[in-house]
Amino acid sequence: MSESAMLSMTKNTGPMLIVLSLLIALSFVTELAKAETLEVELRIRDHLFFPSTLIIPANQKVKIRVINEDPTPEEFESFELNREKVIAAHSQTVIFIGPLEVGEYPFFGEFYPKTAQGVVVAK
Amino acid sequence: MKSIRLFLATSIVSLLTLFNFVAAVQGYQSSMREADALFDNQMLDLALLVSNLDVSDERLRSMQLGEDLAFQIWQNDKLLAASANAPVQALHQFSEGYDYANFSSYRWRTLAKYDRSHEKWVFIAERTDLRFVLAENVVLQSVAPLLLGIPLVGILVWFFVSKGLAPLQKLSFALKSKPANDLLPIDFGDSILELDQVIASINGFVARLESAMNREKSFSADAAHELRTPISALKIQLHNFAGTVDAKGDAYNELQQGIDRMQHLIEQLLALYRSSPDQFDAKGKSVNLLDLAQDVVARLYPEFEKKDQQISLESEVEREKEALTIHGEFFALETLLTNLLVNASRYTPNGGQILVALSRKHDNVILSVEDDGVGIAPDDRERIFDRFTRLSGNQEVTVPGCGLGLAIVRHVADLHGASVKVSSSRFGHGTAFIVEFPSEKIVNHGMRDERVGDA
Amino acid sequence: MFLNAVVLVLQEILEAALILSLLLAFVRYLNLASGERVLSRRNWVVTSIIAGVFLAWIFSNNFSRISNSFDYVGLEITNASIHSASCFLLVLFAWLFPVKRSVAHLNHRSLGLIFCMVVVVTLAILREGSEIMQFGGGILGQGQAGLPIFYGGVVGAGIGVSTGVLLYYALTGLSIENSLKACVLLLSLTAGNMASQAILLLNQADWLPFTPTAWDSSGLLSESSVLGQLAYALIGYEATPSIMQVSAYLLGLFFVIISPISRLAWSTWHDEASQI
Repeated sequence: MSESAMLSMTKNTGPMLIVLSLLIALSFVTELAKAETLEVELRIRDHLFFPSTLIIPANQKVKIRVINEDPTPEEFESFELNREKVIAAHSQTVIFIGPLEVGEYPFFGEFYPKTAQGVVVAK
Repeated sequence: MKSIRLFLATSIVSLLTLFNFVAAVQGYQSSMREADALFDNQMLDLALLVSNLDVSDERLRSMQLGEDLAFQIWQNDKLLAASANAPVQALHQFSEGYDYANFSSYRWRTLAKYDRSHEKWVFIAERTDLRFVLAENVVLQSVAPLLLGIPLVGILVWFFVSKGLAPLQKLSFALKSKPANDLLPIDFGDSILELDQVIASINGFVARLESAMNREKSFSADAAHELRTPISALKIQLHNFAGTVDAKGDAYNELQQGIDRMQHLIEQLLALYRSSPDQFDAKGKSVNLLDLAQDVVARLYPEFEKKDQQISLESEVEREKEALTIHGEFFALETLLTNLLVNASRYTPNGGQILVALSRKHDNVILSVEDDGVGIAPDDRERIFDRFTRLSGNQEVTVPGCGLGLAIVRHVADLHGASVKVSSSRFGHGTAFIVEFPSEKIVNHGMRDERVGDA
Repeated sequence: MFLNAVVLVLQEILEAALILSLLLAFVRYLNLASGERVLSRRNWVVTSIIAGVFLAWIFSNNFSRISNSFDYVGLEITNASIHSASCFLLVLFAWLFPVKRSVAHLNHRSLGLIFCMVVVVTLAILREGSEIMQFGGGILGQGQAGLPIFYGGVVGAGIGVSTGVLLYYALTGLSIENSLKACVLLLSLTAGNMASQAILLLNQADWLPFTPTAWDSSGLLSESSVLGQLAYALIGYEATPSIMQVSAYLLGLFFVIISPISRLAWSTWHDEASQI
């Protein structure tokens, strides 16, 4: 069976190559469309987000610099943005989001969701 | 190995845990929602109360409601009064309803209420973290038993599953401990729906087996027994015949040898039948092997003398006779030693040596029979214990025997939990049979030799 | 904080438990089909759990260093590597899985299979364990009310482990042909899930370009709902996946589907399947 398996592997590289080349082509297209990335700051203090409403331009990639001033780690999470990232205590990190369509995208701190609530507003 | 008990216990505990815990989470969520609504209602009551305060009272400005509450009273975009922990800006939009806001390093639940009669806006804020902790502590009190109960439930499930499977265990124990010669039906006491068919089938098999065994038993015993008489008669007739006719030729000798062989075969068949597991007397008695060996050697002494063979009995522990005592069946053990000695005598040339040795190794008693005869090739050493096996070799054709002797030796040894090994003897050439008996009483009831069936 | 801990611990334990149950079901199938206990000789489950917990501990201790590397996207890069490796090993597992009856064929591959399983489970526990350690460590370090968190953790772990156990019994309770089909299907979905997660993480780190959302099914099944969370853990459900994620998912799926074991599972010669 292993010989025929090897055979089918070579047989099946065709579609795989097509998908790969499509991905590469796609990445070139988006690379060209890439503009200077806007950076916004989001602070975590006492399990609260500051600002709790982040207003960003729509249809543009944005770099969020998250600074955790708390002595505890926090996890930035948003189902709407498809983002999830742990930020250690007293440290900072970056999360890239977008380009987003116009709308509101709630986010929360998964470790302290009762207080750590916020929303990204794309305008 | 698959275990029914483990499968039942883990799957039941998993199901219980899953449903219990999901129920706990659901209960927690709905209780928390209820608590939230309750707190919101209290905020509304507080708003009504605050709206009736006299805003001209100076003391109102420095009033503290407690760290978890704050209020503001606005009129025409002007802050009339506020608690000390309230911010200077409006803590809510000027529209009635509930919301959340962050100020003074906390997240607050906020309420805006418009007082039409005084044309005032009353804002109430309550710290979410504190009211959450308060609510959670209450709700968890009701959830905790669901969690803490699970280990107890696990132990109980294990107990009940074991209890439920006990009849099965009882049945398997009853089958396991059933002696080989016990063909009585299993009496299980209580009737159990799931096991009744199994027990009925087993008992059916046992009954059929018993009748088959009985038939076979009586057939072989009767056949052997019935053959003894005519053969004895035949021998006498032959003897008489020899007296009347002058017939001392080869034909006569062959006839006599043939009848002797047949007689021997029948004696051995009877011995084999008596040493079968289902015929074996399970109780056993103390048998001193030294006494036994002395008896057998004395009885067989004429045989050895006939061939001018030297027979000796050697015992390492002669002083402690007790040390050579085992539990067993005297007749069977006697047959074992007799067969070994007859075998040794047969395959040892005239003038050879035969040695019976008794010793102890650890707690085991070892009986060995050694000779300086022709010996057995290593490849043949297992085969000789099979029934009707006689090693082919030119000189052996002349040796009388039926090939059952060593099969009987193996049988008797098995019944006593003893092992039989064949090796070279200490005389350099020749064979040594070494039988090692365990010291404890090991008469293995359960042992069934599958070869018994083809006897 | 109770619910919080439930969701967090459940999510992580569930993912690891599902992978473990799936691989155990495969091993059981193999032992059943070959008539001997091929893979139980080595205690690979315990080995990989210990290794996973140990690595998770190391990961947590160096969390800041990892997070700050690669211009603050070190976490995404590490996790994407872990996901890609898991995906690759799951595909390799499918290709290595013996489909011939001979014992030599089987023994020849058993080492490779064990390697795949040990590393996949270790990585799963590393991924999920390090997040639980971050969460638990932060809470304990602050000395906050521990009881609700503890209860939450117990409930989350209880639900996760029970689901894993029941999944295992469900997979092994099926007939041998259906069991193999279900296992292969789950394996392909898990491989797709890993590939899609790796892409998402690289997107988040801005190492891969943005691609538009393929669909929005949040109205149908919200990711924040209980069912949505379960679907996320089980098959990597996302309400709004990007086109690139979907492609990666399908690619992972595809490589398992074309493997010999998958063809065996769906072959019309059922007796062949039942007696490898």
